[in-house]
Amino acid sequence: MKLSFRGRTALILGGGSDMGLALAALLREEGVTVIPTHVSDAGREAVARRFPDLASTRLALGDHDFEALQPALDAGVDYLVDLAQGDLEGLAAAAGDEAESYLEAHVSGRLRLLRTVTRSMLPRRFGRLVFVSSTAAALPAPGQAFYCAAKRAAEGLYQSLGLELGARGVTSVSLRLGLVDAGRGKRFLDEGDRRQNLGGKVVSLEQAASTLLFLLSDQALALTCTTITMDAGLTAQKYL
Amino acid sequence: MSNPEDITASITDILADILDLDPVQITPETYVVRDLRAESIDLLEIGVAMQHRLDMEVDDDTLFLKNMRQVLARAAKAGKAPEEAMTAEYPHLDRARIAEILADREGGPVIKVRDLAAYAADRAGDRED
Repeated sequence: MKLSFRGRTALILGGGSDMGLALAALLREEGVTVIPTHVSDAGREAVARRFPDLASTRLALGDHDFEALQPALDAGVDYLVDLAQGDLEGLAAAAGDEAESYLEAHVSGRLRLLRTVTRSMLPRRFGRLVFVSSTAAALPAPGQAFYCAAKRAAEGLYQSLGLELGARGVTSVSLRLGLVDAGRGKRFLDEGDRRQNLGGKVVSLEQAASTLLFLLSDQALALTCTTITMDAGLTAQKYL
Repeated sequence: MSNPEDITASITDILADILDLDPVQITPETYVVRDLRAESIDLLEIGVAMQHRLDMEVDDDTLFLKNMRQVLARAAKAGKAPEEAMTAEYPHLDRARIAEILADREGGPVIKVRDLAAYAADRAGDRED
């Protein structure tokens, strides 16, 4: 099967992450123009190292204006891949200001951004939104309350956008990834820790990026208003 | 574009395109929701189309008088005249139109094509100032 892409431009939030870089490479092979965004200098530098011809735009989920994105949105963004996610671990019962800021950025801030991006998609009657979620949305570990809540809330936003704008050609899907051998997952995976008996239930970076590419393709557009789990079976069993 | 006739013509075209109507069905006095049956998603598209085609920033809440109930409730609570609160919130509407809207609320969504035109003219005026 040969994948086809009716869109020409993809905005990748968190484009400097391992997954963002891997997906950007695949999209560029398909002739799709990639616009990566970053929050940190490390993200910007990672993009510059891998793709010297690509300029990354700084964008944080808590931002209130998206002036920096406007030229790209005016020119037309067809795909949005949302890999943006900050780290905050802590107990829900001990949540303080930091947790409130985190949720404001990851839920309300994400909504502000989605509103801006989808409004730019409406006149062209096409848009594809792909949110990278996590199995922690379904099964959080203690300490992952904010991460879990942010992911679940975002899944709801994406599902609703696909539902509301589907007739206007804007579709959405969320992909719940389990342990991925990259980024946050890689930090969790400790090869030297023999207590970690994951039975090979790890998603490779290549598998995750390829699946995201498929979800962006014309062939996957009927996968909309839904959430898919891809975790190599990690959360299918009762005990680990 | 600040000529009122041009603005009204552009808005008529936008409404006709989005709602799949014959432009002759649309006059400045036409109700956008009551007569043209525009739904929420249509209003969203109308706002976006105005932004793009008329090259102006559009605040949907103000354009479609979305917060009118809250504006009036807040005014009542504060002992403020409804006309005054409406004028402050919707500066693009003149006093006569505000009085008309306040008398017309029971019939359903009050927004008319000419209200959209008034908003666009006001924004175009701001830009030229």
